[in-house]
Amino acid sequence: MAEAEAAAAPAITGMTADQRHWLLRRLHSLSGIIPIGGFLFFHIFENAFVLKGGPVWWKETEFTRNIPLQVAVEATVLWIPILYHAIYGIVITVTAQPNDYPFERNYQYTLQRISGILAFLFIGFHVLTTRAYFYTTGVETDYMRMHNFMMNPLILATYIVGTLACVYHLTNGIFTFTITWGIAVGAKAQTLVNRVCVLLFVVLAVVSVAILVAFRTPA
Amino acid sequence: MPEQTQVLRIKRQETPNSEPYYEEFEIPYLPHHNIISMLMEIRRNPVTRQGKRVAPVVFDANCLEEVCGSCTMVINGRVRQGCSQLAEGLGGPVTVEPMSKFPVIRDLWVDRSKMFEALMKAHAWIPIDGTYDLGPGPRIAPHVQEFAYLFSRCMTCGCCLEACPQVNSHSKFMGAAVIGQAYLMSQHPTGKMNLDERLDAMMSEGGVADCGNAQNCVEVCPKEIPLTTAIGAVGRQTSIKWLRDLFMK
Ligand code: HEM
Ligand code: HEM
Ligand code: SF4
Ligand code: SF4
Ligand code: FES
Repeated sequence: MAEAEAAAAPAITGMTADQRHWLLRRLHSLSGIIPIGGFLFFHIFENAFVLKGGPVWWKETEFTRNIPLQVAVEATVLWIPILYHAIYGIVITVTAQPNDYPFERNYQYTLQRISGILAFLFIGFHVLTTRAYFYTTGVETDYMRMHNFMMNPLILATYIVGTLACVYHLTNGIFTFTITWGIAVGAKAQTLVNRVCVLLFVVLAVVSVAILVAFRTPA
Repeated sequence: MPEQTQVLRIKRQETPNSEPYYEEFEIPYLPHHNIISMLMEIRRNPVTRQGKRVAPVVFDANCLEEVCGSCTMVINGRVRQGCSQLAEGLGGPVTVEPMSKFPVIRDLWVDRSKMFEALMKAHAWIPIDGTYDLGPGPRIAPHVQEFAYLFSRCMTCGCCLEACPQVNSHSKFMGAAVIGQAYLMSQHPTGKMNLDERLDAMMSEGGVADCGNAQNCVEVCPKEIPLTTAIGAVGRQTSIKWLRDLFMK
């Protein structure tokens, strides 16, 4: 039986060098959802506590600053996947040749690449000025620090643009992810997922901007 | 009354490696002209608008009814078959260019070999010949036949590659057509026997993972082939194959 199977399908004899390319692409796709996408959902959720006031936000996010093996967890769950996704994402972006065919999905495709580059710049800036800043100076990013950031129009604008880019990139990425992995196959299913993702973008965009504006409330 | 005319602005290139240039031709306007018949009109008297006699414009065409795919070109920035593009409604100078994602042989004539090479790589056929009579094949349900028929209409014209942002000179992506054909061949119960070979090709560099889901392919395909369904389905087939190989081998 096993022999017959091997004879009928001689090719299933392990992953060739060629197939590793497929795997690298799929890891890129997966890393966008798990863990990075999952983290972003959580990150918006945890920061949304600021809508209930600075002290609630500080108290509710307390546990994220007290994770066992903090650095190791952050590195494996966040930094390494983000670096992998970002660097490979840039490779994918520079091998694209966007064009002006006037179709909605084509604009989404181009936006996915532009938002990826913006996400790269924003996350770099954001992590260097919050978490990495803490590790190098010992200064925690508390309410006052975030408040001062958001009172600076330039930083506020950077946060709005950067966060919207990340949120667009994630929601459109959920749509393409379902095609990539063969979850949404038919045209109707793809349209449905696309509409749901556009809706999700609008919701997450409103919530994120509300969070950023809420940090402007005096302590 | 002055005769109504139409101007064609054609991108020309003498050899595969020479510099392209544009030339304008003015021909009498006929609403039922199509781009190929206009090119034939120019061929009869290859004189540019400036009055210079030049070599006739080289182009590829065969069926003249949008089934062979050979006359695919870029008309006013949009890829399509020249033979089915009527003059009526086109108006002003019409820009006609060869496809940009294929090597130009001469003028509007391009070399689509890489699409046929991709079909070979993807094992996009069903082996039915043996040294003995293999007997009748399995029967196929009508709804499967109808679904498969949609994909069988591909004429390897290249529109889907031309409009795809992921197909370009610095990418190895084979484009959507071959994904549609690999999917088609695996619909057939006999063809299914070579599913793994096809998926190996689909998982190689230039295969399905290089698609970026811009979905221009499905928009421009003149045969309205559900290419993005094939991309999703082959994405699923490759995911399953990978998991199966990972856990069951
Ligand atoms: C609504 C807008 C945002 C706010 C208010 C915000 C707030 C914060 C704060 C206060 C920290 C510091 C946490 C600490 O030091 O304990 C942080 C860290 C971080 N943020 Fe954001 N952020 C926002 C958007 C984003 C976006 C869009 C991303 C992109 C994925 C992102 C990714 C990160 C990462 C990766 C860290 C480092 C986490 C770690 O290493 O533990 N943030 N953010
Ligand atoms: C840091 C810079 C980033 C860059 C340069 C980048 C780049 C890209 C690119 C080019 C794609 C398209 C891949 C393809 O079509 O083959 C993509 C897909 C994706 N990205 Fe990112 N990205 C970045 C950050 C992020 C972040 C922060 C998230 C999550 C919050 C994310 C989630 C996704 C998802 C879910 C996909 C869809 C995967 C798929 O289509 O299968 N990316 N990214
Ligand atoms: S799939 Fe459509 S656009 Fe692509 S080569 Fe076939 S017929 Fe042409
Ligand atoms: S979906 Fe987009 S990227 Fe994928 S083959 Fe079609 S046009 Fe190209
Ligand atoms: S000549 Fe055959 S498609 Fe135009």
